Amino acid sequence: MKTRVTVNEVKQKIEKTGGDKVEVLLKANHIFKSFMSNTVLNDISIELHSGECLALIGENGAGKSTLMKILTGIYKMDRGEIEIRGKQVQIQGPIDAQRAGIAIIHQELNLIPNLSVAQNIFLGKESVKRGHVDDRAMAEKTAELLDRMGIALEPKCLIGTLSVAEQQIVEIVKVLSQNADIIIMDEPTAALSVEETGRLFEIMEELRRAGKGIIYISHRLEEIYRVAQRICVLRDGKVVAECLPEDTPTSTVVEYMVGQTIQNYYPKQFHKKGETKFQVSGLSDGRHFFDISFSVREGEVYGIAGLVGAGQAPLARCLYGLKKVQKGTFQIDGQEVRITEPGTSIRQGIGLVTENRKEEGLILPMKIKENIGLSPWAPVCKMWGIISRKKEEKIARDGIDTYRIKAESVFQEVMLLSGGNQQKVVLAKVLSTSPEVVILCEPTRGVDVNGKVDIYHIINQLLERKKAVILISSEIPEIIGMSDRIGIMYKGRMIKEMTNENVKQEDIMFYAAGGYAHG
Amino acid sequence: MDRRRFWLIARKYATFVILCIIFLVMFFLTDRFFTFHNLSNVGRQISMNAILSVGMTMVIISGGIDLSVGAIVAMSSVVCAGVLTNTGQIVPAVAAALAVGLGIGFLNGILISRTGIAPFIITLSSSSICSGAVLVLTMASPIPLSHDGFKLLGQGSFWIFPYPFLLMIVIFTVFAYLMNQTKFGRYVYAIGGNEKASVVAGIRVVRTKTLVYSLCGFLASLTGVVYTARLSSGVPSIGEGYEMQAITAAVIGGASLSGGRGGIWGTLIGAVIIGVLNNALNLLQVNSYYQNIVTGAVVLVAVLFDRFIQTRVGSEG
Amino acid sequence: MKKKCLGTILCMIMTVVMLTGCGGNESGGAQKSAGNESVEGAEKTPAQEESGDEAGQLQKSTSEAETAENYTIGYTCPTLNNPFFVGMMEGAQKAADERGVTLTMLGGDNDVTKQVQQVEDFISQGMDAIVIQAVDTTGIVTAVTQANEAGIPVLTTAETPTGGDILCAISFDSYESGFNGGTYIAQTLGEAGKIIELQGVMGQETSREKSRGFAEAIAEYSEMEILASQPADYDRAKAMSVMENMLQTFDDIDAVYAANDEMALGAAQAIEAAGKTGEIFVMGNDGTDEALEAVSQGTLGATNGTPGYIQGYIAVDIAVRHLSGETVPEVINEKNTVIDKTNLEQADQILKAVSEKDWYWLEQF
Repeated sequence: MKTRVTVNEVKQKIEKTGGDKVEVLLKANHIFKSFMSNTVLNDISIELHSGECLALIGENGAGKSTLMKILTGIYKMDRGEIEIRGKQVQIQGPIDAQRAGIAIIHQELNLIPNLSVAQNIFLGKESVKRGHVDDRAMAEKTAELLDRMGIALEPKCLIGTLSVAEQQIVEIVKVLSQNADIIIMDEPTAALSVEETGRLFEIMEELRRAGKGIIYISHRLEEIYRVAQRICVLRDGKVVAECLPEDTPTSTVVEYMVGQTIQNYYPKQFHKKGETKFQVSGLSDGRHFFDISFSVREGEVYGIAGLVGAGQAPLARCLYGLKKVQKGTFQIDGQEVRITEPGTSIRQGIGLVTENRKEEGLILPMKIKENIGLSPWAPVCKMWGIISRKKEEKIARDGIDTYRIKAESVFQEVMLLSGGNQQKVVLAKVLSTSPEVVILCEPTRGVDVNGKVDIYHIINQLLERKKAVILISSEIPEIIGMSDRIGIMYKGRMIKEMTNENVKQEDIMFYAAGGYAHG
Repeated sequence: MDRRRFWLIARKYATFVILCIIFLVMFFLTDRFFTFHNLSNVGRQISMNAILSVGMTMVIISGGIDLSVGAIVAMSSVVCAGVLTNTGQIVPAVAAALAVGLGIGFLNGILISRTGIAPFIITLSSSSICSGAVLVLTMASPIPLSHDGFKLLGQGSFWIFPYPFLLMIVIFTVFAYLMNQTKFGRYVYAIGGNEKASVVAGIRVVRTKTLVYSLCGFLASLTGVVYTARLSSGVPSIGEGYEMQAITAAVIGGASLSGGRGGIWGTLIGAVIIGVLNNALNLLQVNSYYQNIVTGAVVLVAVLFDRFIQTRVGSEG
Repeated sequence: MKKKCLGTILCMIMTVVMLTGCGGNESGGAQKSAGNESVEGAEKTPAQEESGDEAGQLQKSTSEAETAENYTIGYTCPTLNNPFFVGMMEGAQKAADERGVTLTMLGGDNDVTKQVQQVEDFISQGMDAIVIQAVDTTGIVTAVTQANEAGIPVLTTAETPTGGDILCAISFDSYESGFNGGTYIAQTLGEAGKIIELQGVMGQETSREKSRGFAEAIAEYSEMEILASQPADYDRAKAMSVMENMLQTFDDIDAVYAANDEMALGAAQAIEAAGKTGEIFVMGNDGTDEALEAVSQGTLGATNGTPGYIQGYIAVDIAVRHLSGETVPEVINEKNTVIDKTNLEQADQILKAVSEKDWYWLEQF
């Protein structure tokens, strides 16, 4: 197996797939960067050609984000040089990067919620007419841009009213409007539905044909295989492999990433199912989902699949009492219960891992032990609400051991952990109250391969202890890999429930995309 | 890793180092500073602002701000003096003053946590209402006191320690314990660090916030009582701008105005820095105008130093 | 990295040292005198006594300066960012310069608790005498008693604290000042007219007393009427907006009485903007330079001369007299004289008592 690809191979390939004259757009040579004594980038060199989509992959902490932050001028490199079209450039700050034609679409959205689509796109470069901002001209230009990409969005819409996916698209449009030649996309599809992802890939293809270079960062290998001409794998701050997707099977790429062979990506264990633990019937919030009924048994994973925005996220919030339902009943162990706020649901034995760990999962400036023992029902007290140091540290240490959290100690701030480990802290926090019903919302979003497998192992542990698990995910392979039964939502309704026996991705896609409605 | 640990420790003790520097400078510049009399003076002077700052620190950690504490100080001062003049009993006077502070704090808290209106606005309004009410109650004239026992509370000492200083130590110990060792304290940090996540974790945010503002009001009225005893009169004109001093002490002590960070002991050091600085500048016979500049500069240096260390500690990869 | 840290700490030390040093030695404005000896000056070794003597001789500009010892005097007043108290500072400083004593003057931000702290610090510092002009006469008593216990003589200007031993109260009767002002206005208007009163700070004693005196003076004339009494915090800008509102509210205003010159000037400005200069008689208090100028131009009708300058001067003069062994009276009554166009020429003499023959307070010994 080759780990390096020659320039000629790449050029041939790009020309074959419709690129024009191929030139080297960006060349980064021998880049070093360390924080304190921690070397993050260790002699990295990459090259990007015009008309090429280069996939940059690696586990969290491999150095992808740091490299991108250096290219976009947020960090300064310790050593190394950057060339744009053969000319050496100094990138000292974001403005230099913009001037060099480098633009980035961030993992976290950088839009201002109370400004309109057009105002966001033209933020910092507003059209000015006679000294005042010309909103109309900007709206027109935005409409044109959106139109060209076939996106149906109203330029005057406030960003805050849009869905995450729509915001993501605005972010992309914003970057494209800067006429950058080198576009970095950091997990752009994380919050997009299949349909929207397809649209994004079309846009990317168009950009590529127009001679732009794209650096595409993602954890989703299937996407990478769809869009990338070349894959560059980073591990521990080094480029460990460069390969062409068609020559390299997925398993090999994963091996490059983790540095070892992963036996089973979805280590699902089957346990004997017990009694029906949790049951909802006729649940409806009047806006996002309607007439939802399903049940979970002890030792069972009930997977809920669906496109982004099909109503799963609001459903999860209602199951946990973060939002009120309009109609419907909840039953635990066959007894009807009222769920009105998180406090009551925790007491009823329900736990929720929210989809966005930084916004709703963690208290970032707090220590690991404080996060894990946060809940009022976590058994960390001596009496009268006085925290017992011993108990708290023990629970945290148990969490670190059981869930394999990689941390210096229980006193480390969660802010300094990687995404996967943060997610495990959230799990540990939710499980500290010993819930019987565990609702997991996108538990592996933004988590690297090793972390994902660890989280699947945690699900197995829960089943072993006879817990009922509800798994909500937009990653269909994950649903198929981990669930016992699968419910599929489409436009707020549960349109299909199936037992997970020889279910294929296409089957779920069919229903999730509303296929049944068309026969 | 070693370096980061170094900066982590540095962050913890940064303000303390600044305080030591001030002490050192004073040691070389004047021999009037390290005298028994002066240190006991400083101890008495800092204790009021320090007690006030404890409440403010809690509010700031919870992600809010309380601009009404100055007005509560004035309010409780005149209530305390008024009741004392009428009844001649210390206990009902102090109790009435504390109840007033607790009540105003409670109203602040309820309004803030239930309506979701910015604490800045709510407390600014209640501050204005309180200071107006104080003037109405007193017709703007001070209430002189001649109660010797009560006077002692503000002016007397136990051995070499002034009573207000001892009260301050008690308050700090109790509230540091509350904030660091109890669930309530944990919730306050959590709400300031991430309110949404706190709701998800099942914390009763409304109740916790209300309690935080109530305690802040309570401590403000306690400060008012001590001032009353110290001045031996209920003075309607005191309290103006005290909230800013309390905020300054909390911020020097490491509290972040965006919530979630800060500490009671840090605030103590912050309050001591402010108090010692004022005293030092007076002892050095620095002109009033320059005093403001120096105070501002020291606050700025303290905060910049903290930020400087913060960038060394955080933001990796 | 370590170097950087060291650098930061060094920078901080330097900032502190520089700022304190600069305050201590140059001390523009507030304490021009004896700055060089300020720190050691308190110690009285024979050697220094000599040098102090020399310094004293150098500074002896008047025959009064005969002190051999370098006395230190601490002076706290309500605030230092108001022309009245700036005048007071200048007067006190002039007296200190002439007598070769070291003066530290502090402003209390209109907060009595801050003043108490300042007095405590004066005591720590071992000042030879302390002068207080209190924001609040009950609240300051604590500080006075503390000074008494430390055996440091306390002098006061303006209102006298309600308790404690005061060596000498240079009393300025705010009530009387208000009363005089009221009477003067009533007589100027021919015992009939409508008046707006601009008060000082609500809850502050001086303002309260002045206002009371004014009201009682007006009450003696049945034809006189106070349309409104509004506080404007001794502040020119606030007074201006208060006056603007008044002009909107009342069509017929004959006179404005302001508790200090700053507010009077603010009111005069509002009146000028409304085009009513000359129609409304404006009277201020204090007799600041700017106010005198305004009187000569006619924008102000009169100002009740109760100058800070002379207050400060008298306080320091008496303190030094006491320290050099002279017996001083318990009370000195400060004169207040209305200055209008008729006696503008003598204003300097009245307000600043520049030459020794004008030192009227000596008559009260």
